[in-house]
Amino acid sequence: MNENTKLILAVAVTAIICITGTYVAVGGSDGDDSSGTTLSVAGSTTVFPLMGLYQESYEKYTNVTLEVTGNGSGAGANAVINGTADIGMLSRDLKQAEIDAGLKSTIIAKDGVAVIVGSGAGVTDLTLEQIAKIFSGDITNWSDVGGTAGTIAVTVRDAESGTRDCFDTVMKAAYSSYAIPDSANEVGGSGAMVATVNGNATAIGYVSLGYLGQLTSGSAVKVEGVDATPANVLNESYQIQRNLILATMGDPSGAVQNFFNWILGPQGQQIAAKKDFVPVGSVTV
Amino acid sequence: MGLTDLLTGPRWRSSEGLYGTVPIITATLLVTAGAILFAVPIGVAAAIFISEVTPSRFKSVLKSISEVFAGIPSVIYGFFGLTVLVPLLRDTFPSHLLMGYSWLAGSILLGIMALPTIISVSEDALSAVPKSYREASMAMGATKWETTIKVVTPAAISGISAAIILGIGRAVGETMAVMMVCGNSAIVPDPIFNVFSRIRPITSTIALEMPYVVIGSTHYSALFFLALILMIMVLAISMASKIIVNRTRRKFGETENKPSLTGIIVAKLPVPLVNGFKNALVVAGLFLIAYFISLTFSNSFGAVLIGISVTVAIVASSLLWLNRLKNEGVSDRPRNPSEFIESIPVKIKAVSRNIITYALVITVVFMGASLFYDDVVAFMAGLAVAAAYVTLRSVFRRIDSRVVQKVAHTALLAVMIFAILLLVYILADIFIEGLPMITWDFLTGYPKDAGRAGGIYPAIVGTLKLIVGSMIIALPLGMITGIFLAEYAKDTPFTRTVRNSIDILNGTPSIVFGLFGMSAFVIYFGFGNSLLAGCITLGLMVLPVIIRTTEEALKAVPGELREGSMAMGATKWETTVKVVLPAAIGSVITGVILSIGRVAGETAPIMFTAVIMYQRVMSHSIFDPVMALPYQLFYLATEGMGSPAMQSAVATVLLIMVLSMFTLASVVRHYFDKRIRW
Amino acid sequence: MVMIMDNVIDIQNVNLWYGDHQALFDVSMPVQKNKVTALIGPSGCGKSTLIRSINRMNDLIDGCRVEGRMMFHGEDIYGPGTDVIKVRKKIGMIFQKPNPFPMSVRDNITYGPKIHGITDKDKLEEILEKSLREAALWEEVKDRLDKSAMSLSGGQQQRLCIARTLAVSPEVILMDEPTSALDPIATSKIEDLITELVKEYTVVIVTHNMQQAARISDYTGFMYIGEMVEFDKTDKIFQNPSKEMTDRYISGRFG
Repeated sequence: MNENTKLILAVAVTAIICITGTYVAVGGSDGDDSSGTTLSVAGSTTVFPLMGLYQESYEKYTNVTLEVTGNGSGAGANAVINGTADIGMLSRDLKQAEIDAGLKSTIIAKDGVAVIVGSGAGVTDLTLEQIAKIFSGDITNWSDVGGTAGTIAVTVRDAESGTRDCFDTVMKAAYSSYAIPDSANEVGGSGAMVATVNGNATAIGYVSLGYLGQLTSGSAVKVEGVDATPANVLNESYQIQRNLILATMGDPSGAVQNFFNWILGPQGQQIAAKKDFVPVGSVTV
Repeated sequence: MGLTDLLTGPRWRSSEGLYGTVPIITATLLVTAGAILFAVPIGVAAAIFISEVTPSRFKSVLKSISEVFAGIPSVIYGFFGLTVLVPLLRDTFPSHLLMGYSWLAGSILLGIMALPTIISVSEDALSAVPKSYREASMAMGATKWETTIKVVTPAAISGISAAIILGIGRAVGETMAVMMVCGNSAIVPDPIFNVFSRIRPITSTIALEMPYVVIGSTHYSALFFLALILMIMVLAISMASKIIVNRTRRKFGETENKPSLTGIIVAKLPVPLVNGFKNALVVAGLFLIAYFISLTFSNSFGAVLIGISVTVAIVASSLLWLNRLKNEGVSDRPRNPSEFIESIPVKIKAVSRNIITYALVITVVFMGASLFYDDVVAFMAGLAVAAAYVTLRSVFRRIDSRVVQKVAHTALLAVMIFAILLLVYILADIFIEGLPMITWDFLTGYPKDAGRAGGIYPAIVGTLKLIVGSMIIALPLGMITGIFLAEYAKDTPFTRTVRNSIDILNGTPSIVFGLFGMSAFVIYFGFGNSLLAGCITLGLMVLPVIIRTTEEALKAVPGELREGSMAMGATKWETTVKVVLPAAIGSVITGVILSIGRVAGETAPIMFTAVIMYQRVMSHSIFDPVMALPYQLFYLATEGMGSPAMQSAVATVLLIMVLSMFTLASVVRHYFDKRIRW
Repeated sequence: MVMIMDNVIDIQNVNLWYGDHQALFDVSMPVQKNKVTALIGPSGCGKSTLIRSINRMNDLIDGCRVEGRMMFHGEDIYGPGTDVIKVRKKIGMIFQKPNPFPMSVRDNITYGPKIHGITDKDKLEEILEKSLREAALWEEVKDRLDKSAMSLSGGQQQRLCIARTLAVSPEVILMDEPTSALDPIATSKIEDLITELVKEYTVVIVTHNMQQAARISDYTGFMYIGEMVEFDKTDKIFQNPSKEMTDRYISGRFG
């Protein structure tokens, strides 16, 4: 290699290093952390956006950094059991096996599960039994429940979803032959559920109240004549509902305990209310 | 958990403790079959076009375009599938597709992803056909097209088969794209060829269920079982392509019969045992083929019966034939299936070849048409197409060969243009939507609102960190191993086995690396979800690539250079480092750059080892997780978060990063190729 | 000067360029029916280029340009209306390295007739046997017609290529150093074959081996750096050449 080429190469390599270095340095304007604890949080996609808001407020308030992933209630519980997360977010109560493994739960809010349908369905009110039959595949056309004719596209959540757990429990109680067929379309998160209903006019699905704001095409139906709203969840007239909990290995302590206290305090609960969840703490809706 | 339960259980429902893998393994086979059906005609046609029809000055351009295809990360294809292909399919087939997620969508995407492999390897095979064959044919008055179709392509058929098999390998291991568009219902399509059904292949199952599997549970073992099945498939594919490559070499006269450890073991086995094994394999294969074909028109039980009867019939007639040969005193009686096939009289072979072709045509058309019309009409359609095929063949025989050539060349050109337009469309779609959103704030800002808005700075930095980390792990180790293999290792069965193992590692699907990375580094070694775990996993993934590239690059340096250096009294190490390595540096650098491109774009290995979705501040230690561009895209797209423009913007940034790597690699290779002329 | 009688091919004032480099300079030569015409000369003299331009194989090379005329049965091979496919059917070529297709013997031989439109199975069998007999190969391969051609020896492969060319019934057979890759025994078999073939066909042969030219050809052309230096009856060229350069080459003083 002759001298000129070596020179050019050296300059090029130096330039690349400099540019990358500058980029890395400059970009750190927002939120450069100096010290403090890091808590890792994983679990329910329902709770995930709420946790995101907590993060924005709480991190301004203290030195604690939160790292949040949303991949399902079951995944959250497992992460805490496996030791890969400090806090698990679940949109259902802990199962016995999880309690046996040492998890403890703290309720942070109540939530309703809305039944959402696509823009072409043409229904505004369904009974629990009708909903259960639709999801079991026993009713297949919107016209059978008073809507616009069209094959119903059923979408459910993945097997470890807390939202699904709540939904299935309520449905089983309403209709003894309730069973989701293997061929049902499964999605892996609340956002994906809303996206599916947004994109398919004849779809039906279920999602937390907190995600209704993302529903741009389609609507939430009344269940047994009751609207899906936080007020109706609080007064228990809306039947499909559950607790949102945070799980820890053993009782919460230290930084985690402080965080939980803040969540259950006025600031935390106010944020929950703004997100259409039902607070359990000091603020009433 | 019994093995039979696992293998034959018809339902996979982890929540109920059911782990029957039939629908899942079937799904992998089906989606791969569909992908091959789509990719082989287009790929081989494109390869023929590039190799035989294109003037030489355009060849390198077209090959580079094909390589660009190859460099696009699978999550981008998945994104394209999710946002464009799925709605398109839903709108085209409203009565069949409620939402658009389907086997068809998966196969189309996989087909596109397997195209570059098929094109590239087939084109190499076609170019390798000696010029003398072409000359001999043309000297007899054949047109270029006749030469291409009747001489060159048949001569290259082994290489083309190897290409197809490698394409299959690519498709089998693909995770992200199928996960995003196949619909993820763990069912067997009904009827089995219903391309509109939703399915869930092995790779998607592992990726979807890894997050919530409890370590050490039955579920956990079941997932590892699936990974094992996947690896067996990859192994089989690797072996098949090696066998074919060896057969090609023997056909063209070079005998390269140096067996590996397994080869030696097999050679030591008694011949009747090996032959018996081959025979058993053939019988099993016959049964499976008959079984699957009869599944199209009968239920499982009936198909089994038909399968058995067909197999028995074929085996019986073969045995009768053998007996007849024995009675006639024919001395060189065939002893295993391949010899047997060679001994069948040419006329019978020709007739059966025709029968099989027509049967295949009718069956395929029937399968496709029966999805839209009733069975009788579908069968008629099959017959009609077969008749058309026969007529066309005789018509083409009578037309002047030059006209045929013009038609054929035009058709090939059309296929080529179609393929290029497809690529351009995918890229354009993403760039057009995404570019407007890319501002300096976007590139340097932090995400807001759980990742739905704001900037992607941590994702970019995270990707850069992963690149640096994995290179630190893979480069030194890989280069030293490559140097060792090329310069120091003797050609023993042991080293051959090592090479084979590296090849297998090379073909291992990325999700398997992810699974391994998670259980080994995240859980077992206790690194947790961290940059470190991610870097090690990614490093292991590209290690084989670097080893191979280094080894090949060094081997390409002619022996004269080494001899010249040693003759001056240099040691082997000095020769290697000061003479050989610098001479090979171009290819080595190219391999490194290509690996960087891969690391930047891979999602599956980092999904459970290194990434989180949302980071308000930059992580500081290697034990912290990071955000990364491909995972960010996956998460935003599948959760429907962020505006479509934002998703496209993330995709654009990722694309620009990966594509510039590949362009850089091309430039470097070109530069060094020009300077070094042996 | 040669008495021109019964010329099958008449090469007239041919100039040939590869891009900017001129390879043939004003070459003229007759090819007589049922005679063996040999082209000799040192490496790079253009004899291969010349023979390959007779059946327009040089068309396959980018940037090759030809001026001049080559008359074949009264028509210019390089004329605007000439069908190159028909030319190649009538004028066949054997190459230096035997290049049978990786197919069976039968498929190799029947390839030519098939592409020229013969589909009748019996006719093809007829052609198969006839060509192989003419190439003196029939006895050696008649029991293994469906085995791969690649398993034949070098000499057999070259005879197979000859049979393959004969199968399309050409008039002229061009041979570009057909025995330089073969051992002496195979070489002599091919030379005997050429002497037989020329009774039915016309042969033009390029050879590196002067003795071979002296043995089997009727007419010889000596070329040097793209020019036809001397063309005459073989006896005359070898025993009493007119040009001094020819004499020097024949006696081995250069080459």
